[in-house]
Amino acid sequence: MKASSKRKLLPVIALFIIVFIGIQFIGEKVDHPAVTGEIKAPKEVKQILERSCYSCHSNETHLEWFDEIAPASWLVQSHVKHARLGMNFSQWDTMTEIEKKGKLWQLYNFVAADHMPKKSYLAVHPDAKIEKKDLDVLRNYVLSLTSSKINDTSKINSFNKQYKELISQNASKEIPKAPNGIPFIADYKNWQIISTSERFDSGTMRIIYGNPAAIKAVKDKQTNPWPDGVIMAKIVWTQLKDEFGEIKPGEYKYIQYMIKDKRKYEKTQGWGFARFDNLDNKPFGKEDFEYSCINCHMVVKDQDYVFTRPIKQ
Amino acid sequence: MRKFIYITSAVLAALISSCHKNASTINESASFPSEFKFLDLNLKVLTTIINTNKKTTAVLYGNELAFKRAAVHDSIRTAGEQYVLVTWSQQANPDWFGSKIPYELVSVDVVKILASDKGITKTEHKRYIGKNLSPSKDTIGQAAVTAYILAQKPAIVPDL
Repeated sequence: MKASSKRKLLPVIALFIIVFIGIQFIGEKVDHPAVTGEIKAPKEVKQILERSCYSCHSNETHLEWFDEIAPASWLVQSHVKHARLGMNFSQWDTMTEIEKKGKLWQLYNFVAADHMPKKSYLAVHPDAKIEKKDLDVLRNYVLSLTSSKINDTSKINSFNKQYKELISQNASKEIPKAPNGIPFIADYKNWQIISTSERFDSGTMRIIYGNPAAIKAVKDKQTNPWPDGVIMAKIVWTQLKDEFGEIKPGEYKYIQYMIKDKRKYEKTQGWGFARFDNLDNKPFGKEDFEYSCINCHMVVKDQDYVFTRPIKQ
Repeated sequence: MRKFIYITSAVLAALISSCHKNASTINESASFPSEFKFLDLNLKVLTTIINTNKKTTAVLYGNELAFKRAAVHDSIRTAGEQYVLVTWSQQANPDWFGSKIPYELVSVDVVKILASDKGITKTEHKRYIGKNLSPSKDTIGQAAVTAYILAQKPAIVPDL
């Protein structure tokens, strides 16, 4: 290199160093709020969570030196912030028992599908990898959380109460709308089903309906991706199990819709989400709730973000 | 030569990505044989039943008349009501541990109310079995299946 070009390069390098040092003082850093109610789990489970999940999903974030250097630190900060919103083992007691169980089953399925820990995170933190034997520990742990009682009186009582409510229900109410504007669609009753599911993780059972566009897509084998105009509705009940090993729908819990419109719902991978709870069809969630929906559906991104494998009729 | 390699690799890449995109998500094993023409029956869902001993999952459907009767919680049957119980064996959901989904068709039971007068109901029962839903000639247990189907309550579902 000639001396003259070296001289030209020097100010550039100097400027770069100044900017680099300068940016270290701006931007948010990862904070460490107090641990208010940590998850209680068997030792071997907790060790896995601490090693592989806590750095992003708790208030006890352990950072490597390279995580604290801007601009990487900005990325880490935003990543940790989002991760804590999704699941925070340091504020575990803010959830109901049902929510806690649901989160742990979700955790197992995310790990089993290699969706978590994130590949980009593992690339720089290889120790966080969850090996097969650890996955088995998690699997046995979530299985230990399920229970299915026969002739469960509290479940039967809730069902009977709701049945009476149903009979006395008054028609012609205002159509409820989810925070994103998606309305309750009563027409699902006239649709065909595309599948059912028994969920022993949550003690529920489901029927998944498809509108005529969905049924046509299944017939034409155009379900990956699904075309615009497709709507699916999923109805969720608690399970009522009897002494003969039969499970029937108990209390009705909620209905969820997925509406395909590539442009309109671009931010959530082309799907609009909505959920209405109980017989009064109370809209679920606050503003931006749909991000928590698509977050879970990312596990099945290779099948157009839809868990249901439709049955052709 | 270079141009040839570019074009071939572009075509190959397009082929691979299109194959990947089009991977079928349809639950083929649980699907109906097309000649059965299930959709032509114009049925609506009444309820769903899981049998943990037999490891089956079923959906009970009704025609318009049966559906209307269910909606008004009426216990009186009328001629023309039709009930269809579709039963599948189950499989573990490959996409979610903690969930079971239909695997293969086990049977389709069709019960028709032929006449109903003063509490006496005349019914007809047809049964189709196996993946191919072949008509079953076996009449043993028919009365029990009919009674079982007619005893089912519709599930509680949301409405406006």
